[in-house]
Amino acid sequence: MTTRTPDRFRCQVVFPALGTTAAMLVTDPVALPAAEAVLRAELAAVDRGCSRFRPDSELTRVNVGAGVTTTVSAYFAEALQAALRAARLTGGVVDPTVGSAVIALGYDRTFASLAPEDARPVPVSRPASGWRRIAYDPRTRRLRLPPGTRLDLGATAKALAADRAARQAAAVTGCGVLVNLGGDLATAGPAPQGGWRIALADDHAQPAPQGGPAVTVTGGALATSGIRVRTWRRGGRVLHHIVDPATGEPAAPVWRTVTVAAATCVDANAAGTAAIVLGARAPDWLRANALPARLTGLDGTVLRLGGWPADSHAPAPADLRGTAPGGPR
Amino acid sequence: MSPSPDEFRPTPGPAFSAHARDRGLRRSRRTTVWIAATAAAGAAALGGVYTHLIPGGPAAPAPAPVHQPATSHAATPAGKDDGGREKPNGHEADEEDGEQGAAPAAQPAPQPPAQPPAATQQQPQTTTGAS
Repeated sequence: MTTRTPDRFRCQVVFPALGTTAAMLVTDPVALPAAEAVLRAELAAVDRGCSRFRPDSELTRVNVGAGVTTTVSAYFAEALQAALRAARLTGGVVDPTVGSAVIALGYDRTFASLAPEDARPVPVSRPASGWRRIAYDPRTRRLRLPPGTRLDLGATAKALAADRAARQAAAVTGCGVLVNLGGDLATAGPAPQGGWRIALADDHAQPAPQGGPAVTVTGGALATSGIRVRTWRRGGRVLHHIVDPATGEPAAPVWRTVTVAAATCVDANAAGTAAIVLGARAPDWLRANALPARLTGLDGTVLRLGGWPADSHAPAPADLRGTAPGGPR
Repeated sequence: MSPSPDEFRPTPGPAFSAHARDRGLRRSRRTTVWIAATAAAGAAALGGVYTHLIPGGPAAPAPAPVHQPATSHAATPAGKDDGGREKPNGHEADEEDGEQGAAPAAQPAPQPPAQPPAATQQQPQTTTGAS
């Protein structure tokens, strides 16, 4: 279902995609149809290439063929390189080879079809096989996974899709564009006056509270990772989807939600996910990388780093009422 | 009427017959070698072409593992190495050990935004949050 507003000043579109919500905002209402077409094409490409829930996706083919050398498509190669970049940036804290661990924990189908309560015990966890054991030649796009390894490109592929869609839509339309895929935001082109206004929440799909924290950005990207969404119970334990590759277990809960700003959505996403896995070591790592970030502890305590502004009190977000990014028209 | 003896061709002598046979054998050997060499060269050329065209070709050389000059523990962030060194498995251990004398490459870092976010009290247009 697509949410549309009937007037000709509509500057945003929201619809379900990739098991979450896709939203696009543009600074020029005339550009919205063309920009939306770019976004939909990008979403179709990332789903076809990188979904681990589609039996016909390229990722499924690669995972099934672990141990055998294969040639991947240009799109898959870009997604793989984004995942490997995230692994390099984080020293392996974010690792695409956690696929087997995530599946072992029970997240082996789309989250919507996952049983919220699984009585079976949680299996003994094993560390991820490790991104350094992936054999990949970017010149020939030939790839060989270690036998038994399953890639999970979920987070970085979504962030990459946001980056690519924003960049391409801005290039096609010549206007400012913001793409929001499940809370991972990328911008491109000229920002509206005063910047893009973004509410901060634990769950991107829940209505942001009146007077909740909000920020503006004039470029770059924002991404949020958290352990309060995509949770399920298994063997009496509450599990979440952010897995520590060193243990194969869900990351120990230290931060409820982490939002990071970076030049690209891939980097912001990698840093946010790394912060969740790093736990108490996250602030030092984020400071060392000069990344603006907002970390919310389990008790609601907020830590701001890298020039992240103090919380303001903004009204609730526009509820898709067709407001132009520069303000109501 | 029976033919006259002059109509019969003279039978070649033993020396001439052996010479002709050797020449024939040499020619046959040369032809066999030439065919074998051409077939081998053709097979090698086609194999090279198919290696690049057919995904997952077993004859294709495996790409090298992804390298990381400065190895740190999996849960240790970049720039915060605790000194522990994760020992890779199999041939990678040898390869990485072999790199110990090389100058370390710069550790890549996430790229910060041009400007950090700023506060606002205006109505937000969209929401970031976990998904």
